[in-house]
Amino acid sequence: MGRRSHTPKGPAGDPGSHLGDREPAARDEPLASWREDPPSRAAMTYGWTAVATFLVLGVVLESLNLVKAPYYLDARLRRELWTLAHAHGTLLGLLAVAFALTAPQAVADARTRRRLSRLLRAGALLVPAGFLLGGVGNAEGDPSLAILLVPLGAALAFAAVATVAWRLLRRR
Amino acid sequence: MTGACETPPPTSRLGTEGSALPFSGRLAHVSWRPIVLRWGAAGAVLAVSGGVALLSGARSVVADDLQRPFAVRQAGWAGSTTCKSCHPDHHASWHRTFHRTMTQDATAGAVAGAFDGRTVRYQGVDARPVERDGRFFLEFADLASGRTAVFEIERTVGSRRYQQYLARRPGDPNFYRLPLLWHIGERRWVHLNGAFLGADGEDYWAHFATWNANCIFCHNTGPEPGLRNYPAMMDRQSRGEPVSFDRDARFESHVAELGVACESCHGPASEHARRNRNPLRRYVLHAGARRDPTIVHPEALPPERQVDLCGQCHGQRTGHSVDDLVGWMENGPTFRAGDRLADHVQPVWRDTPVPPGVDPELFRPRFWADGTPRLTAYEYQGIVQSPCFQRGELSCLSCHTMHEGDVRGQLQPAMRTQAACINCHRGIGADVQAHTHHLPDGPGSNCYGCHMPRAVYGIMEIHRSHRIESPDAARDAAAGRPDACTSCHVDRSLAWAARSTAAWWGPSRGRAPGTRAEGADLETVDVVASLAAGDPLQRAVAARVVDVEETPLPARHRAFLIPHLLLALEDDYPAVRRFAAMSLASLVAELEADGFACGLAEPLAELDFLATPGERQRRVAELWRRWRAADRAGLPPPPAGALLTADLLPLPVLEALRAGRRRPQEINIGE
Repeated sequence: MGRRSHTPKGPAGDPGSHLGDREPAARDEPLASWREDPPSRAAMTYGWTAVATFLVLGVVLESLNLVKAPYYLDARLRRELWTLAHAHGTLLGLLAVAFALTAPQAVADARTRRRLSRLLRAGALLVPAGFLLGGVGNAEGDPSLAILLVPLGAALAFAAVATVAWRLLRRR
Repeated sequence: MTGACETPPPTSRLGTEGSALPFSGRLAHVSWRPIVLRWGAAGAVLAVSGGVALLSGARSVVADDLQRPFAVRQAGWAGSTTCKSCHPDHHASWHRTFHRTMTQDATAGAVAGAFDGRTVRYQGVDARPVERDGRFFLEFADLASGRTAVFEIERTVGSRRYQQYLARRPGDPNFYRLPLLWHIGERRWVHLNGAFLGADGEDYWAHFATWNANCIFCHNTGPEPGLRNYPAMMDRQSRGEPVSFDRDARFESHVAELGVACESCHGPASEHARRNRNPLRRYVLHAGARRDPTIVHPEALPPERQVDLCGQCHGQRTGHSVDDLVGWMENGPTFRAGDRLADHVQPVWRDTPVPPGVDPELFRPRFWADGTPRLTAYEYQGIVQSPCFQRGELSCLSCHTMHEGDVRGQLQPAMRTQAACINCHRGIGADVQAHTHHLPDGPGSNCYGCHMPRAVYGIMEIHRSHRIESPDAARDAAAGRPDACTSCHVDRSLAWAARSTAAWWGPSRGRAPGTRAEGADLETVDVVASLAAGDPLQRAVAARVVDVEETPLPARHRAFLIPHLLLALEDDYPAVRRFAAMSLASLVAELEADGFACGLAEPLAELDFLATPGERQRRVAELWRRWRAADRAGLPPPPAGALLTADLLPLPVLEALRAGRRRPQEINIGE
C-alpha cells in the first residue's frame, strides 16, 4: 500500500490545516500535555509570540513618550486606544498560553479543542488589532472604523473562553 | 503500515528532539503567519465592508439632519464637561487657558492671593486678608470712622496678571467686586485705584462694583444677570424717590458656566451634543466634508464674523437702546457665536452717545483723539479700523488661536515674529530691510514695533495697539498718542520722527507735525513731553515704554530719563508711579551692570507706589538726593529737547510744562 496523505484530516473530514494546528490524528481523550496537542501548541505559540509582540509595542509607546511625539501624545483617544492595544494584546496572549496549558485536560474532544484554539487566537489577534488600527486616522472623539474588529474579536475570544469554562463546569 | 504510523506525530518530535525550548523548530510547523494574514484580512474586510455599509445606510438616515439649517441660538447651554466626552483634546487645550479660569469659585486651588493676615493700608483704610477653615475673608477697617466690614470671598475673577475678589452682603443676592486685587506677578495687594487709572484721593470704595451688572457678561459663559426689580425702580423714580442702579438693583444671576468656556465661541451646544449621541451621525460627519450645522466652527466663519465673535467681549459695546440694556440685565446678552455683532449691540466708539443720566464724557477718554482705542477690551475697535481687515482678510484668528500656542496672548510662536505679517505681505518679506530701513533681524524690523506700537493700557500693563497702521508722527502729535518711532528711539522728538519718515518713505508718509496735543514743543523728546505734560494715560505709556527691550540705546544714553522718571514718581496717578518705578529700577540695574553706580536701587526697592503721600515723598526725596550726589560726569550729555541741564537735572521749562498739564481725568477702564 502506498503512503497516506501527509495532510491529516480530522474525524469529520475537516481539513484542519489552514490555521496551522494540523495534526496527524485527533484524539478524543484528555491529553497529558499541550506538547502532544497541535491546537494547544498553536495557542502556546501564538500566545508567546503575541506577548513578545505587544511588549515591543509597549516599548514603542514608551519611546513615543520619550521623544514627545505629538501624533501620539497630543491625541488622547489615540493614546488610549494604543495603550489598550498593548494591554489587550499582551493579556490575550497570556490567555492563549493559559488555554494551551489547560485545554488538553479541560476539553477532551479534539475537534472542539481545535476550534476553540482557532477562535481564541483569532479573537486575541483581532481585539488588539482593532484598538491599534482604531487609533489610526481616527477622529478626536471617535476611533476609526477599524474599531469594529474589537467587538468581533471579543466575541470570538469570549466564545472560546466561555466554552472552556462550560466544559470544566460540566466535568465537576 | 498505516500512514498515521509512518508520520511521526509532532508531539513526539518535540519531545524526542529534546530541545530546550518547547517551540524549537515548531514555529514553521504551526504557521502562525497565515493566521495573522487570513484572520487579519478577513477581519479587516469584514470591518471595512461593515463600516462602509453602515456609513452608506447612515448617510441616508442622517442626510436630512445634516442638510437642514440650524440656528444655534435655538439650543441650550450644555457645559464644557459635555463637550469633553467627544472633544478631549480641544477640551484639554482650552482647560489650560486663562479663559477657563476667568471666574472661579473661591476654592483653595483658585485663590491666588496671600490671605495671611497682613494688613494692607491705603487711604486711611486697613484691609486684612485672612483665611479661616479653608474660607477666605477680607476685613476692612476705616481708621477715621472706626467702621468695619467683613466680606467672605465667594468667587475670583482673573488668574493671569491679577485676581479680583467677589463677595456678597448679608441678605443681598448681588455679588460685589472688592476694592483690593492680588497682583500675581508682583505677589502683592493693590487697591483698584492703582489698576484702573484712578487718581489719589478717589473714594476707597469707588470701584466696589456690582458683578451681576458688569463683569458677568464677559467673564462667564451663558450669562443671565437676572435683574428682577427694574420696573419697581422705575416706579419709585417716577414718584420722585431717589433711585441708584448700583445701590438698588437686585439680581438673581445665573451662568451656564463660570469662566469663558467652549460655548462662548462655539455657541450653545445642547442640541449638538444630543444629536451626536447617535454614532451613525458622528461617523457620517467624520467621513464627509460637511460641517455639523448644530455647532459654530469659528475657523469656518468669514473674517468679519470671526472678529464679531471675539468682539462680543474684546470690544466694549452698549445697547442700541435703553430697552436693549434692560433686556441684557434681565435675560443676558442676545449675541451668539456666528451672529453679526452689530445686530445685537452697538460697539463703543469715541463719539458714541452715552445712555441718559451717564457722564457724557464716559466713552471719549477711552480712545486717543484719532479714535484709536487706548484701553484693553477694545481690540475689536482696533481691528475693524485696520486696513488689513478693511481691505484684506485679517481677523483675530489670523494670529490668535484658542487651542494652540502660548496661553499668554493665545498666540502661536510664529505669530510673535515677522511671519505674522509676511504671510500676506510677501513682497516685503522678500527684502525686509528695503522696507524697514533697519537691520532685517533686529528689533527695528519687527513688524509689531512700527505697526502695532505699545499704546494701550489695561490690567496694569501697556499693550500693543490692535489698530494696525503705519507710523505717522503728525497724526500722533495731533492725537496725543504714543508714536511708534519714539517708543524705541526714546531720545528723539516727533519732529525727528517725521523727518526720518519723510526721508525713508517720502513726504506723504512723513508729514510734518503741526502741534503737539499737550502743547509741548515738537522738538522736545517725545517721551519727555508725554511724561511731563500728557494726560494720565499718555504719562503711563511713556513711563512704561522707556523700558522697552527693543530700544537701540545703551543704558548710559538713556540715563537722561532718570530725572524724568524721578519726577513721575510724584505723579498723582498710582499707575503712572508704578510704571515709573519699574522702568527706573530696570534702568538703574542696567547702569550698575555697566559700571555706573548712582545708589538709587536701594531706596527704589523700598518705594511703594501706593504708600501714603508722606512716606512716598520721603523716599522720592532720598532718591533725588542720591541722584544729585551721584557722579554723573561719566554719563553722556542729555539729547536735544530733553529739557535737562548738561548734568542731567531738570530745567525750569520742564517744571513749567508739568505745571500746565491737563487736569487729572479718570478713565473708566471698563474691565
